[in-house]
Formats: sequence, C-alpha cells, structure tokens
Amino acid sequence: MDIYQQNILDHYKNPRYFGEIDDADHTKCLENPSCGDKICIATSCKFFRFSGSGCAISMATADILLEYVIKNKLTFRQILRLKKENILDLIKIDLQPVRLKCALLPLEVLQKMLAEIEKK
Amino acid sequence: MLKSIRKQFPILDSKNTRGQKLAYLDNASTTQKPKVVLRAISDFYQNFCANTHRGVYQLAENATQIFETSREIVQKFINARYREEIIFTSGTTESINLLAQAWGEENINQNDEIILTEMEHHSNLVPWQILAQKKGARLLFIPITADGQLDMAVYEKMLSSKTKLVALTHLSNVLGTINDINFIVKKAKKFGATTFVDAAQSVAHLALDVQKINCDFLAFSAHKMYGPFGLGVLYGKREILEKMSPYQYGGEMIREVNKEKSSWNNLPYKFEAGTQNIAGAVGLAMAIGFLRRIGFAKISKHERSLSHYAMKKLSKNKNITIYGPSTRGAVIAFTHDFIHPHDLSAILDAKQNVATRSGHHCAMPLAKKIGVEATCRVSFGIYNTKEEIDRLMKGILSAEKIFNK
Ligand SMILES: Cc1ncc(COP(=O)(O)O)c(C=O)c1O
Repeated sequence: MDIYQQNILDHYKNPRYFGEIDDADHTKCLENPSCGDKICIATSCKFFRFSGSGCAISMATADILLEYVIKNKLTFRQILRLKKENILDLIKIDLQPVRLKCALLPLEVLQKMLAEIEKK
Repeated sequence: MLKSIRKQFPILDSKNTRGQKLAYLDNASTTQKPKVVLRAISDFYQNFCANTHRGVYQLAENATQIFETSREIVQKFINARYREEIIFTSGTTESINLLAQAWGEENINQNDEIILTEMEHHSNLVPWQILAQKKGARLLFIPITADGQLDMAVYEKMLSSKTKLVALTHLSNVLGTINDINFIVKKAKKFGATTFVDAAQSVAHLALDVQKINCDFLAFSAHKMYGPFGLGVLYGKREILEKMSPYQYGGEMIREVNKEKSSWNNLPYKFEAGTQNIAGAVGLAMAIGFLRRIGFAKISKHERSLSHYAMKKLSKNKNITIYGPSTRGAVIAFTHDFIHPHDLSAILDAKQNVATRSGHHCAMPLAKKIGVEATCRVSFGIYNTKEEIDRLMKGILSAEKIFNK
C-alpha cells in the first residue's frame, strides 16, 4: 500500500506538466509492452510536457521528473546522467521489479529523446 | 465438498502480513496444484526415477510404463481414438509451434488462407504470422461482435477453397467467451480445411471430447488444469500425424541413424525428441484423476455460480465496465473509470490479499479491438468462494477511496 503515497496521488490526480506542446520541436513516445503504459514527452525551448496513459506510478513519476528537470534547469548532460536511484529518490517510494518498470519509463522516454536531439 | 477440495491446496491457507488468507483469482494464468499432484511427482522422483524407453532394467521399465499409462489417461480424458494421438510437449505454446512448423511447413502454400479470430492469445497468433510471412499465405480473422462473440455470419463467408486451416481458442482468456467449436469445425470441414482448437483455457473447466468436436488438432497445458509446469499436450488425428515430418531431431524420435541419413520412429515418439518430462506426465495424469473425481458437472456448476455472482456484484458498480458476453466461462475482465488496472490489482493485493492480473493478457489485438490498453482480470477455479469475491468488491471500494476524484 505504501506505494500510493500522498505525493504520488497528488501528482497523478493533479499533474502540473501533463499536456501537449503546440509546435513542439521534438516528441518521443515509448510503450511498456508488458502493461500497455504509454508515455510521450514533447519539448520546445527547454520546456517539457508529457502525455499518454498509464498507471498512477508511471504518470505521477513523469510529472515529478519533469517538475524536477524544469525547476532545477537541468542541462541535457545532467538529464542524461540521471539513473534509477535518482528517480527513486524523487518519488520516495519502494517498488517491486514489475512496478519499477512503470517508474522508469518516463526517464527512458526523456533520455532517448535527448539522445536523438543530440545526434541531429 | 468445497472444504475438502480446498484442503488439497495448502497455499490457500497462507496469509499475508495483515493476516488475510490468499484469495487466488488468477486461475487463467495458472492454477494452484493439489497435494495429490505434488505427492505423485515427488513419489516418482523418489521411487521410480529412470529414463524411459532406454533401459532393460526393471526401474527403467517401470518408468516407461508409468509414462505410457499417463498417455493413456490423457487419451481417455479427451476421448482420443488412439494413444499415439497424444503427443507430450512442454505446453500449449510448444504444441502450436510444433503444428505450425511440422504441419504448416508442408501444408501451407502461397495464397492459402488461415482463419484465426480476433480473440487469440499471442501463442495462437504469432506462429501463424511467421508461417504466413514465410509462405506468402494470408491470415483472416473472424471478428468479434459488440457483446464479445465470434461473428459466425462473417466466418461462413470467409470460408472458401483457399481456406487451409481454421485455428481458434475454445475459451477466450480475456472475454470468457465460449466458442461454438463444434459448429466452426463442421463448417471448416465442408471446405476441406484442417482445424485446430486451443483448449488451454477450457481444459480445466469443460469436458472435452475430440471425437465429438472432430477437430484435427487440439492443445492444452498441464499447469492450467491443476497439473505441473513444463508439460503440455498436442492431440492430432493419427492419419495426419503419420504424414507429418518431425519437428525436432535427436534421441528417441529416430528408428535408424546412419552417418548420412536417418529414419523416424513411430507415433507418438516421432514428435517427442529427447528425454521427456516424465514426472510432469505423472503429475498431469494425477491432475486428470483429481478433476474426474470431482466431475465436470460439479466443476461447471460451481464456477458458473461464481462467475454469475461476480458479474452481478461488479455490474452494480457504476464505475466498472465488464468486457465480453453475459454467458461465459470463469473469466471476467473489466476496467474502472478512474483507476488504472495496475493500480487496482496492486491495491487488491495490498488491502485484501486478492490476486488478480492486469494487462493485455497476451492478446494485444483483442485489447485494441475493445479499445483498452489493459484490463483487470479475475478468473476462477474449483476452490474459489463467494467470500473471496466479496473481498474483491471490498478491495475495489478501498481503491476508490484512495483514488477518489
Ligand atoms: C488461450 C490460451 N492459449 C495459449 C496459452 C499459452 O499457454 P502456455 O503458456 O501454457 O503455453 C494461454 C496461456 O495463457 C492461453 O490462455
């Protein structure tokens, strides 16, 4: 039960960074094939938004991650260095392996998008 | 009756840290195993362990006999005409792959048509996709109607002289639909098509009679019928199996091996390359005995009443959408208006120790068809109770409190 903490439920029910960006520079979507969660992240001028559908853990984590990235003005380099441990620190809950995938999907989307931007 | 059945499954008395007993409602994934099955397996390993068909010493002869007796028990269970028609595999998935490779390779050609349905498990879809791609054959899918039944009118129009195979599930692992396989096979035969029934979901719940169904092939897994993991069955009509080439090569499946060339053993050994899961076959035979002693009449009656009760309770909740027909097997998939299936399953587990499954249940095309990414699924077995369904409903209320808008 501990995984449905107030901060998770709050970000899930009232996400700050959920939505589309009109004429986004880049968009990246990934799906978790085992559960059907789908997350897209769009960016334009260092601003990010996420969309998609999924469980409370994946959606809340996406919102918490984007809030962290935007509020702290992380550089691409810093974002690309984020790891599983950073995500768990941010969301402050312990997860079993199956649900860990839900929590790590947003970071994977974000990092893959940035890696693609850097290549261009 | 229910009490003595539950006694066979000690796991059902296990409790979580809150002191709640396990309510296992994920029987479509795998069933729990009764003590008689576990004991038979361990007894085999302790007292009869030897490889089959190879030794002339008594122990090996006993093991061979035990293995072949298990085959005969399976034969009687599904009323196959001959014992050679029962091929042991590692499970339904391997049975279908065997079929797609050994039969499909020689019988499917360019522009041939294979009819499947929109409700197939990936294991009765992907092997046919690969075969069709390789051969330039075409896959056709019998559509499902709004209430989750196969559209028989469309099926009848699909059939033609091009139809080489009709392969479908007996019971949907998501919608719970029980397909009229007798009718479907009969229609397919009119066009000379070969037929395959995936009985993975029905074998523990409905009596099967392959002669009555008149299908050419049928498959199931022991682990979904109170038996062990790692063992399954492919039934095939003898005259078709005889014409098929082997699927894997190695020991036991050969008659004579020369350096350059070999010839094949008789049925069923031609399809059983290498050392078999002998203890698994013993476990399956025991599981069949266990099911037979209860009897399918009682099993159906009990499971139908559970399904009916759960459907009634679930449909009273306005936030819940149930998928599939009103008359169904012991499988109910549903979604909740504001709780994601994964969150729901996690809370049911944590608050009530109720085990349910959430996801696409290995039927992604079906999920797309019914317009959901994931559903929460409950599926019943002979040991489930109405009290467990009440706990499911309580757990849903708890989840609603957590996620209330
Ligand atoms: C309808 C159906 N077919 C095939 C399978 C595959 O069975 P196994 O994984 O035992 O090979 C399943 C298992 O979920 C199923 O539900």
